[in-house]
Amino acid sequence: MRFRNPIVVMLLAALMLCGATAFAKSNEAFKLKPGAEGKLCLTCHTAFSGKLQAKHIHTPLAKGECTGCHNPHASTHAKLMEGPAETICYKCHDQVIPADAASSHQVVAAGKCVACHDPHASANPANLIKGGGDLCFDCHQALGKKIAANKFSHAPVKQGCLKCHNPHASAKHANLLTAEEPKLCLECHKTTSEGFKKRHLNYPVERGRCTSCHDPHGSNAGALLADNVHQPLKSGMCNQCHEEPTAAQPFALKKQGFELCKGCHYDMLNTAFGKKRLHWPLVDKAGCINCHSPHASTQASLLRKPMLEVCGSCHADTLARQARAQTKHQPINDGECTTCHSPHASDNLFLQTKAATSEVCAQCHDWQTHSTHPIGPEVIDPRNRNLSLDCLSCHRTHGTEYKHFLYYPDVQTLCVQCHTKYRR
Amino acid sequence: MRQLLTGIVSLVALGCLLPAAVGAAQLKHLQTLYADGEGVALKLPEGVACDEKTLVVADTGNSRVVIFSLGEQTLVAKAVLPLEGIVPLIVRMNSRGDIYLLNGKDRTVAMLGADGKTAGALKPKGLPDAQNFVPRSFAFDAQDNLYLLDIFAERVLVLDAAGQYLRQIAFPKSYGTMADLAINSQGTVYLLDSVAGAIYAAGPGAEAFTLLGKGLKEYTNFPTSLAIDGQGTIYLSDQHGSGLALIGKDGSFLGRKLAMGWEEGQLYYPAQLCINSQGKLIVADRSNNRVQVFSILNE
Repeated sequence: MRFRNPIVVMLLAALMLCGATAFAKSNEAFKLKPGAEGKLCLTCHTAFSGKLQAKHIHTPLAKGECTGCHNPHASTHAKLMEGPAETICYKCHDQVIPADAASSHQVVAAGKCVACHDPHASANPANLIKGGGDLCFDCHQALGKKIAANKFSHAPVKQGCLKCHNPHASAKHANLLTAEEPKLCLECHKTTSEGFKKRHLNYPVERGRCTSCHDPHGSNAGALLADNVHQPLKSGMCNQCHEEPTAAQPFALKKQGFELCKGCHYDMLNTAFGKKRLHWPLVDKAGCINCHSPHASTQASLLRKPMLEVCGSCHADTLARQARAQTKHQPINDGECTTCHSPHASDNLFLQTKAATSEVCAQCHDWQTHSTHPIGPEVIDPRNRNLSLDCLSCHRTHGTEYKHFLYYPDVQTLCVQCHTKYRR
Repeated sequence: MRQLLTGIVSLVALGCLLPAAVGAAQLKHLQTLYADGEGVALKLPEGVACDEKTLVVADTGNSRVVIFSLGEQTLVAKAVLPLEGIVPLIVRMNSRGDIYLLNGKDRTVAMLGADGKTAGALKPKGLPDAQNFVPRSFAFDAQDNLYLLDIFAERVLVLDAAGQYLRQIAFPKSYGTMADLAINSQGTVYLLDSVAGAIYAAGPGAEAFTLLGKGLKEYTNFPTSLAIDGQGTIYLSDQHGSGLALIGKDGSFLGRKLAMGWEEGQLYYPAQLCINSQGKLIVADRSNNRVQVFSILNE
């Protein structure tokens, strides 16, 4: 092989020089004898000889360069790592998350590379701990179970998650997708056939977002529609909400916001509008679809996402409080915000399901068994004559930094807020 | 020469201290209102409106408005206006002293005459896209023009004092949930986005809103009301954070005031704020069933 282009020759020379410099640096730092940057380690760490038989070996180990990641003498990090476990991989693999990535895998962003990769060697490509979807389903358990139980499966899912998703990050697309919808779907699905058009009632769905109706991970409904399908879609009556497929803007809605939904859900909206307090998103431009999918959903009541995610998309501060709290409130943990709140409207503050807070709490807590402290409308709060004592006088339901949702670090500090004569 | 140098040094020092002084505005607790003149306790008051002489309280839980005379040192209950079929969530006064209420029950702006009787719901005249209109909040400017926060059509509507449509300003393209608006003495409109923790501003005559500063998400929990003092400082009522956040004209975060609690001078899920020209800041301390009056000390 002859290199005629002098630029190529210079580039190769520069690369070799860089490599040699890096290697020399490691040697210089520890003044190592030849071979001591790795091979010497194996004289004690004999278990690693087995690792070296694996099909896929991490490049530094294959080269016998343990000092690429470990300090042979001492370290402030576990396992004599040369740097923090969360960042050491980025010394070499600094391109796994592109700058301004549209989406990134949580574990990658957190630097938990070893959640998926064996840093030394593995039988799987890219040193993955497990092959195929099994690795992904270790964390995405609910999705794994659903895929296994689905009546109808989507062929690419069987080929592995990486068929559609990037494992680390996606520079331009949400959900780690390798391409945007519908382009990704149209790589396999041809939209020009009469059958396709007929099934979609001649609406130009190739311009839409396939996942607003279909579940790409498989489903129990026909045609891979998400498990819960909105009745008009089930009945093939898209024109109940949208313009006709021949219209200039076939996906345009016939009415805006809740006005559109009112046609069928009149009773529900009428009840909500009769209450004293309305959940404001219900009457903004998006209206019902702030929380509900208009077509199909994997969630009950056609919620766009699991309830906690839906509510948390606006009330992130409340969920963050629960996340920080020492004691977790079970309904929030279970993602059941509606245990205490009416999501559409209520006559009560905070859209509570019941007027008295103690009644809301009493749905789960028999408070008289855990405390005989008097509470109720006739018991005046010594701190504020306009308040009576109830559960919220001592507890903050979405959590505090202290145990049992208490406002104060311990019971004594709490009690002396009112029982002031016992203050020290 | 020495005097000149001293003068220059003093001016430089004053220049350095001025921004700090704005940030260091202090609140002095003056009074807490627990009841009307007859001793009937306030219940979940959500709205307060004030000028130099009058404080109007939307006593939401009691479905009524309570009016107080606002003196230099005293507050005296003047009148109680029972409301029929109105859940007053926000209250404002124009320069004539007319009282306007956001009715949470039917999402309209109800007008009260000077006699306290309901004069019906505001019906804007000449409104484009009139069927798509849901007011979430409203405010008056110095000329009594009415600014309506229309969350259905994603716009701020400007009406003249007679309710005639003048113009509209579209919401910014990307936002969370708009909750309140305020207009400063120069006519700049400020929009509060509770979910994004952001304030957007549109100068007098501007056709679009721009984000003020870099967002306030890390400093606030869920702000729902804003008011502006004579210095141009923006006060946010951080409902879920049970406190106030102070924001500079440029959107910079100046600090937090007050904290969660039940004692006087503390807040528990506060709602609307108002500030009058005498520097009195009044907070509807909603979940404490009271209204608290503070004095802003810009020292």
